[in-house]
Amino acid sequence: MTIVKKQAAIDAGGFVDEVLNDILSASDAEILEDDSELTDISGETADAFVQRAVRASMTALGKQRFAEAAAELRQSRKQPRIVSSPPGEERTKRDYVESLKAAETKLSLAARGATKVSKSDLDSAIEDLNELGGMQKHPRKK
Amino acid sequence: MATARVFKSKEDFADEVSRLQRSRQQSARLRQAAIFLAKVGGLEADDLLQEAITRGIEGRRRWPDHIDIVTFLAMVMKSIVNGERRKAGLRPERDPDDEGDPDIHADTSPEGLGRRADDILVSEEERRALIGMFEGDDEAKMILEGRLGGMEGDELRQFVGLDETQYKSKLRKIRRAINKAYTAGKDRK
Repeated sequence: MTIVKKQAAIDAGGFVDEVLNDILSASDAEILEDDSELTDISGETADAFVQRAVRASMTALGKQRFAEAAAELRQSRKQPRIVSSPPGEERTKRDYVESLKAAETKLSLAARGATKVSKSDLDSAIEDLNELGGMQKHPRKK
Repeated sequence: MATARVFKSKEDFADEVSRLQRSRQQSARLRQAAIFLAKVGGLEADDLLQEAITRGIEGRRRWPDHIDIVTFLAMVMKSIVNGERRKAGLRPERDPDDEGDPDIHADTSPEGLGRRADDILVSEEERRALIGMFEGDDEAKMILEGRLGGMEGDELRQFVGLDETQYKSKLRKIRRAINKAYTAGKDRK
């Protein structure tokens, strides 16, 4: 819990509600006219503004899922199950190491900056990690 | 007779959000709500909208069946601003909880943030800055002073001497000026 210093304030809730109602109930023509002014000033359309927020939200959620999957992977690596494999499973082990490296590369890319990694990259990395978790529990038989 | 509240699923919310970007008028309303609330709340508009979307997708805020997506997101953004203002240490001038619960304003839990979702607190300095934007426009100044001083809309309208259309038009002018100043970066926190 964070303790913060209190500061006397005015409740602007009524005014805020009034303006929000105005925004929500204004005619399409009026709202588009108002918005075109903001587009002129910012150089960004409302669609692009919303799209950016949606993408940022998806990326943040993707990162969170990714972090959870990575934590799972780290945990499973602490308990190595592939210690001695029968000769027929050598290839499975090699596949596993390659997949692990690929997933780790995607993980470090994501850590460097969301803008460099697409959502599909993140999803596929999470999928890889999930698969790796499954492989460790149940190594594929050839 | 009380009726059970019905909520849409997280998947419905995600679907609808992805369609938002294709509706120009919905995007425009959403951007204007985000900018206005960000200005009042001392936040960044894009961060505010992003957080509202994230809460909807995660299901931390449930979308009532009878409310459209833009109204719902505006409500969530307002609730976020409410929480942030309290986390920043603002408290109402007359707060009945002051005596009984000294930690109420320090409560940053999701439950705590929703305790009073209707008010939006601004400091005296912020109030003066908002009113100061309308130097030379006495009607706009009176509306802001009245609304931020606790007067109701109708009472204030009559006091200022405007009919409903004139009052609405003035309100729109105030909103446009606030949003334009914020967007131009002249008036950011």
